[in-house]
Amino acid sequence: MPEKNNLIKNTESVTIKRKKFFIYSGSALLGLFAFLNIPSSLFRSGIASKDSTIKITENPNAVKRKSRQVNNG
Amino acid sequence: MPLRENQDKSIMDKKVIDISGKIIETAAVTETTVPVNENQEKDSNYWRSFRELYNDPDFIREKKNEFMPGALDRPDENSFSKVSRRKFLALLSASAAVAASGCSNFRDKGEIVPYNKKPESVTIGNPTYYASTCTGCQYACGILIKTLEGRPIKVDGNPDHPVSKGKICAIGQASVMNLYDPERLKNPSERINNTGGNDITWAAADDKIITQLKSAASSGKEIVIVTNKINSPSQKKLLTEDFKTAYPTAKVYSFELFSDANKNSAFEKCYGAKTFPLVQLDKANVILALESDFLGNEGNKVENSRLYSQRRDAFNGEEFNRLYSVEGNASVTGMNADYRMILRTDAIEEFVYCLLNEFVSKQKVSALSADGGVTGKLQSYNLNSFVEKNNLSKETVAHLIEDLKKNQGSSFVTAGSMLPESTHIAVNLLNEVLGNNKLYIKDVSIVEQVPLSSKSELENLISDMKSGKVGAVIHFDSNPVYNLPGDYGYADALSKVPLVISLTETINESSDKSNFVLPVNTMFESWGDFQTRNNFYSLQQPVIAPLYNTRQKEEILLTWSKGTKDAFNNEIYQKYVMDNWKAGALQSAGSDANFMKQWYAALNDGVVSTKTVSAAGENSPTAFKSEALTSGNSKLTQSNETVLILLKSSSLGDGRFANNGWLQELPKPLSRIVWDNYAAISVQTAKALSLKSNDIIKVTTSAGSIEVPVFIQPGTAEGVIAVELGYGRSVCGTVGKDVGVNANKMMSKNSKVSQWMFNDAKIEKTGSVYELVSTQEHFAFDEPLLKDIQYRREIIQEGTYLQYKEDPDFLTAHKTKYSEEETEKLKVGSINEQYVHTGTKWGMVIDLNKCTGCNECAAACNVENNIPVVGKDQVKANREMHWIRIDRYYSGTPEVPKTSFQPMLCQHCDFAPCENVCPVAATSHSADGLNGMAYNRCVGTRYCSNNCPYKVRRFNYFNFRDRFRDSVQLEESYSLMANPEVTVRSRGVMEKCTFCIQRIMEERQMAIQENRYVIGSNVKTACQEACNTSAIHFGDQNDKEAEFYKLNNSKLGYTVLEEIKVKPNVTYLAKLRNVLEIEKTEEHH
Repeated sequence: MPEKNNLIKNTESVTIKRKKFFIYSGSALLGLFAFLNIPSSLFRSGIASKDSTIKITENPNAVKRKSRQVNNG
Repeated sequence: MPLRENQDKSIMDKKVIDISGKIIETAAVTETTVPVNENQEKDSNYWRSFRELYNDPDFIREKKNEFMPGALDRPDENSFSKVSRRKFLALLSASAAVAASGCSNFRDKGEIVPYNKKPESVTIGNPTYYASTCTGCQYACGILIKTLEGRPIKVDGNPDHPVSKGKICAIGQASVMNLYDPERLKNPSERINNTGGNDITWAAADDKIITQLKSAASSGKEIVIVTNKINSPSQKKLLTEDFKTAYPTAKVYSFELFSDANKNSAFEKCYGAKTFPLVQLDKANVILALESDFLGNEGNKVENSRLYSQRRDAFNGEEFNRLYSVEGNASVTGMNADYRMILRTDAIEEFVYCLLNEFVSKQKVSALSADGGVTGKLQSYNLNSFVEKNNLSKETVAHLIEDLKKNQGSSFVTAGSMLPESTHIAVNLLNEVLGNNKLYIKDVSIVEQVPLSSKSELENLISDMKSGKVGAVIHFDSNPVYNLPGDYGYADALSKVPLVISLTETINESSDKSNFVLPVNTMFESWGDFQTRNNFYSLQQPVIAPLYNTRQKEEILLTWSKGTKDAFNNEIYQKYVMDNWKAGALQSAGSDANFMKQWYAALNDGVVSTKTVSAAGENSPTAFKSEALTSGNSKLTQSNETVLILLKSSSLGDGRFANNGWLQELPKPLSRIVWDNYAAISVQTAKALSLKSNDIIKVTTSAGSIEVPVFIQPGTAEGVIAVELGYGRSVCGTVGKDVGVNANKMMSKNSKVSQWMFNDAKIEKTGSVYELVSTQEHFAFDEPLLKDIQYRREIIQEGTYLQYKEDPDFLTAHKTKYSEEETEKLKVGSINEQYVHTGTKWGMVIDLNKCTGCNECAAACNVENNIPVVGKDQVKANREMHWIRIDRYYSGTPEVPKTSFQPMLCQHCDFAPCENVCPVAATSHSADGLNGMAYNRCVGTRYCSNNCPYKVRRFNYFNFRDRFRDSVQLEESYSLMANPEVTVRSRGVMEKCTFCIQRIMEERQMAIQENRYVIGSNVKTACQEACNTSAIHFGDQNDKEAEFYKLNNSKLGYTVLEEIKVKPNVTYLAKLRNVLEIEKTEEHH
């Protein structure tokens, strides 16, 4: 039957071959692995290490004022 | 112009000798040579350096070009790479592909996260201010620390503080860089067997140190604390009481590199009081400064400048004071004086005795005239012969005598701290004779929490250290190895001490010889209280938690005094200070609730006045004891050798801030030299020794010798050399290490004169050369048609106070600089159509009567506007990035120059020539009169800079942050220092003063919120806020009700280069010298 034959033909044309599938997925995994594991710091130059990120914390016991004008308190 | 013809002739007539003694052409005269003709005609033209004065052809050629030689040279084609175009493109493509695929995370700037844990009182973008106290030097000025989202970004003076009154010095301004210095110590470390330090925990450090301290105390060995001056009552209690209770063998020694020790000891001998009193400088009609740089680097310059400048205001109704200066070194004070006399420093004492003899024996102005003991001591001094012998101006000395006599009780004589006790005794007597002791403030006095250690105490300390009596030395944020005079032998003695501990922010010469190096908090992370005067206390509060694993130095000692490492907690010293205040300053508060209320109020204000002034007790001055004069003090007499004076650095102080690039790059007020110290010598001395600037000389005194480069400083006395201390740090961060020469080693405890002065110096030329870099000639630019630009164009306009009083219009009435023909030409209108600013129009007024050239404004501008440090090599190439510079002009002769200072910044011209030439419209005008810069538009053609007549535009030839000292300015901590309201500029972008547009925008926003017009006086630019003498004013030129309007339209006002019709918006108020003669108009420009 011509209709059936067409259907089978269409199905075959969109199937990825087993060999290609493994090549693509292997390459993708390799790329992902490389992306995640190669240290980006290798490409930094002249910039200090960010290992010790400085934390800024306001002192809760200090008393702030909103203006730099004379206070006369 | 006849004067100009004469001037040219006089220059052509000059002959000069070079260093080998040959007579060479005038045209070749540079600073390397000096004129033979000593009696050269006074040249009233303004000059910036010897090269300019003597029309050095190189300098003239350089002036014709904006850029340094070589900048426009065609490159050498042979040096080009041999790589072909095709290969280059292939490599470029390949590397671009690799870079694109590999740099997904390049320069990770972090994630943008919501500020969902925002403290209640913080609004993004709104700054908060904390009142605190600066500990950059011994004067403990009140400060306001501005923070944005928790980061301290700017320090200014606290207007509530009774001494500093809203102003601070350059060191205070730049102190924010110390907080973020990436080379701060971050962890405690222990040094074993002279190996490098190993990081240890605080617990381990405390444990080990407490054990050793207990052991030392139990075996009767001294535990020595070496500290700088103690100004804090709580710190005093901790060191001298609580720590001593825990370790009974503890002793405290304090020292300062610079102090008023000689002045104080002289006052004690004269009046019985231990410290020199405070003086109402603003009430003095006449001030005589004897080798005293009270406006520059001596005493509390912030307060001195304010008091002095109150009497240099042409509009506040008060008469001008008159400043006389007699000095050997050219100082800021001397160069601002109305009359300056040049005299060897070791002749000053004799001069004072001559004045005393004049007033006591001849003019009999004092009751002491009847005291035979006094008159007997004075009779051998004769003023006339002294004047003759030292070639002083008879006329000026006569004016001085007349002025001092006329202003008895309202004049003041002050002598430099480096002068010996005997000179100060004579000066005290002179003030007594003239009745000037009326200006001493009686009810407010200086409080010495712990007196500085005397010479004998320090000698005993060294001796105990050497003999093994000292079990431990604690450097309490001090650096005695570097700062103490070398002949104490402190460093050697330290090697005999088994336990040396340094509590310090950064490595230094003393920490390098310590067993334990413990990192301490900066002033931004510390609690503290201070009392420098008996009428108020001030507080210091931490605005952020420590950035690193550091502790406050007082916390460390408090923990040790408790005897266990477990005693430490983050609030230990805060509670200690509060407890002391409960028992002291806020004793009257009563209940805890009331105390807390007052405590918070005190923290808010930063200062607390004491209602009842504490009794001065033993510090009360008695009547003058004339035996002080007649006792057997050895007097300072003039020697045949050279005088060496050692000065405090105008920017680095005692050297503890050597790692601060902003301070290193701040030009010195007179020489404009950056990144170095030098030996300032006179023109005559240079000639006698065939020296030129940059020659290295060997200076030898009884204390030792150093090799230092020479700078020929106009106005220095013959036979006097001056060297700044604070340089030559051998153990320091990358910025400050080995910058300059360590002249501290020339200080001597045994100097015959004083610790900071010798009159037995010998100078030898070494034959070596070292290049000093000065910004003095930078941005000098003219062309043949505009020759003598500063003369003909009246960039500096001056007159006398008498002239102004007689004819307030004198400045405009006597403009004779152009011929009639030229004047007609100048009447030609502008091709530009005037834009009418109907709303706000911003403008600035700079009062040259008040400007002392101190550079505080430049320091403040650097911090506010994220100006990078570029380094000495780039400054040499004219590439400093300062948006405001202080132009210093000399007039007169190199031997006796007059000095004029002029802050120069973007003038925000109405017809800005920079705007017309920008091909991308990156610089354009705003409706409120600002000349703006769109950094993102700028493509770096530099046309604007080329066309700017004021040369105030700065180009980023590099990303200077990346280029300077291994990219230290790109460290994470430095990026936290940046003011987020100002764009950080990168390579290829032009920049310049914006009139602090971020502050204008703040006011504009407030005006919108409050539904009102913008108020000009609400905006204060960074330079204006910092100016110690309030010389800078800023405001709305269209607000006729404002004080600013009056100044802007005053009769003393002029604009620079007004004839080129760019219509600048910075008005200068002409300087008025308070001299007794009305000088010829031609001599004032």
